[in-house]
Amino acid sequence: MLIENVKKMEFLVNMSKSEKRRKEAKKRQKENNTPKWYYDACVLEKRLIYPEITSIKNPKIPIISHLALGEAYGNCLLDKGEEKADNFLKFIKLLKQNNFLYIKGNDGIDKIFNEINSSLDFRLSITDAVHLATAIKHECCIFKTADAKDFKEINKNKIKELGKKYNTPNFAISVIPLSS
Amino acid sequence: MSKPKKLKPLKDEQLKEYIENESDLQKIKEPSFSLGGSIQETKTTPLVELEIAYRKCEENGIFS
Repeated sequence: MLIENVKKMEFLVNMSKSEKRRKEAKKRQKENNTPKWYYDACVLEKRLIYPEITSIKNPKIPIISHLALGEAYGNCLLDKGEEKADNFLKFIKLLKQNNFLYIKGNDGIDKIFNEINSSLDFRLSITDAVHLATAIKHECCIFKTADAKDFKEINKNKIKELGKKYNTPNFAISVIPLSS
Repeated sequence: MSKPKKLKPLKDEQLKEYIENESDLQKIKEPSFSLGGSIQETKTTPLVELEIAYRKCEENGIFS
């Protein structure tokens, strides 16, 4: 009787574990299906993007990188001063803490970076190429920038091909107009 | 000795009014817990904190 009860308990525990695992797998799958959007440094100064980042109607995983954050903070520090730059950093930190924004490193992009430079018809700046390579590395399907000047000449098909090679078949660049 | 008054959490309308009118936005607080009927600690809710931080950036002219 005791053994039966112990086995029953084990079964229930396993079932509960399995249910937990199933739910976790489902959650992971949902997260994997949620599109990732990469935001470069210049868009972080655009108020337009924040309602977009925090919107739950259009689910996405907004990603910025260490470089984007560093550039945006640096610009802010030089243009507005330390106190205002710290307020900006606090705002970004709170977006991250509330899971509205994810901050990723720029490591491990060397191969994609070289491919960007060799496959495009013109040379992007080093920072722009790093942003683009980071977005592709993290499998982002949208690359958001306000840098129309640098990205207008980019060959969209070549970029799409590059994205496809690194598990992002619908990779696209979205330029926010400067006036917004 | 009179008992200290229990503070009630702010209602949404009150919160909105405070955000719109209060210049010192850091004053927006919501009681997180109380001991012996008096507020021992106040804690700003994460989304209010985010709203405050956003508004500060707006005030500082960071966004265009």
